[in-house]
Amino acid sequence: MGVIYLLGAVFTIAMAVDAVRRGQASGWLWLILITGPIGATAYFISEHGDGLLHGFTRSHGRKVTAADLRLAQAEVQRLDNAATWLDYASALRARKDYKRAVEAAGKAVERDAANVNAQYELAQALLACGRAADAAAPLERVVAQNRSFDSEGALFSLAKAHLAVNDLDGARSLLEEVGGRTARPEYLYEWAAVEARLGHRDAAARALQRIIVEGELVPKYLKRSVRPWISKARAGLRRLGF
Amino acid sequence: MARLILLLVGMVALAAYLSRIAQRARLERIAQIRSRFLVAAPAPRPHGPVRKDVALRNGAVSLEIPRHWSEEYPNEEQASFRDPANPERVLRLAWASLPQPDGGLSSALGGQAATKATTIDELAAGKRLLKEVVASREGSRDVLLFRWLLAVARPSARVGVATFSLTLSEPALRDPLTWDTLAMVELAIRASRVNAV
Repeated sequence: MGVIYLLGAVFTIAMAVDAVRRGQASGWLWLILITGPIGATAYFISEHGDGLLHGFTRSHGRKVTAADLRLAQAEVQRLDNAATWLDYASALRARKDYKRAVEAAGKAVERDAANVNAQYELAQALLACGRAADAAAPLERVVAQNRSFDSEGALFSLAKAHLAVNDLDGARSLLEEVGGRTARPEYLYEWAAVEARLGHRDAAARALQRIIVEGELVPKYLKRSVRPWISKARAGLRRLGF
Repeated sequence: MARLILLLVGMVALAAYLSRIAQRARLERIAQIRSRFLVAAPAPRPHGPVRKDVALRNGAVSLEIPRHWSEEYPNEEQASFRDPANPERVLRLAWASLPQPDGGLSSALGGQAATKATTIDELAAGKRLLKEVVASREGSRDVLLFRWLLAVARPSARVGVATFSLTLSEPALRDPLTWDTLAMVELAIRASRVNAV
């Protein structure tokens, strides 16, 4: 038992020293010293556990770790081009640092305004930052080049930007176009919500019914993700009196 | 009792050790930042945000800053330019007209600098630019003050010195966004127009 305590103390001290050396004394150090080996383990996984996290999160998609972010920063400093700023912005957005993601995506756009990925990343960061109205301009540029960009994601985001400035008609026509090309339940639900707000009960009900019908057709492995939308669609239909 | 004393002694020793390596790590980081800032001059770039022209109220200095930055003019010889995207980024500008010392512009700049570790560049139109970094503490955070002193000879044996300063927290200097802002500011300062008359 004594050996375990000793190892825990050594690990805690080693992580505390590492945190101080990396200039993380204000945040991590206190967590490590107060919570001991638990905080030290959390610090180790967050700062050094790139491979470890990759293994844990394989089934839920790749997480962006602090090490990934540092790598993206180094690449920006090395190359300073649209592609590296774009990667950095995307890493910041994945780590929910939206304000800096907007700035980094802006740098990518400054370096190559014709880069549609940079424009889209800027729009996504602005949307995540709660600045939907500002996202409209870069999204317009994206859909001008490719209306199906990101599997209709750009068009859907543009509809949300129109909604942010209460342009219901603009949003409705975009969502109708999206609904004509894809059956993703979140897109159809948003379309139904807009139709309902405009007083088009039948159109709203048709979009909600589509969610239910399409939900029955999706493969087994997708059923779990679609189920909450089916419940929402049923509740929506009840509210509409269907 | 003996165990408690041993634990306390251990904790004090650990705190002293952590404080020592924190201090050493900070000095290393500051040295890296200082060398990066003083040695390299940013290359002119075709890209950048849309800009606007701003000038001190007395017309002594004018420069280009990003269009979305806000402006404040507390008096004729001072101005602050603020990036609304980041409240930390405030570029301050102050103007002073001084008697010219024997050593000329470089000597006048050296007299205004807060540190000995500086660089002086000769710019077009007879301007001289001194750059320096000063490390200090603001409240509970470590900050670095970046200063650019721009001097130009004036009539009647006087020197006009425009002092630009930007205070940034030390952790912010790990972010390439901050370095990009520093490069953009320095380019604007190098291209600024100083009224020699």
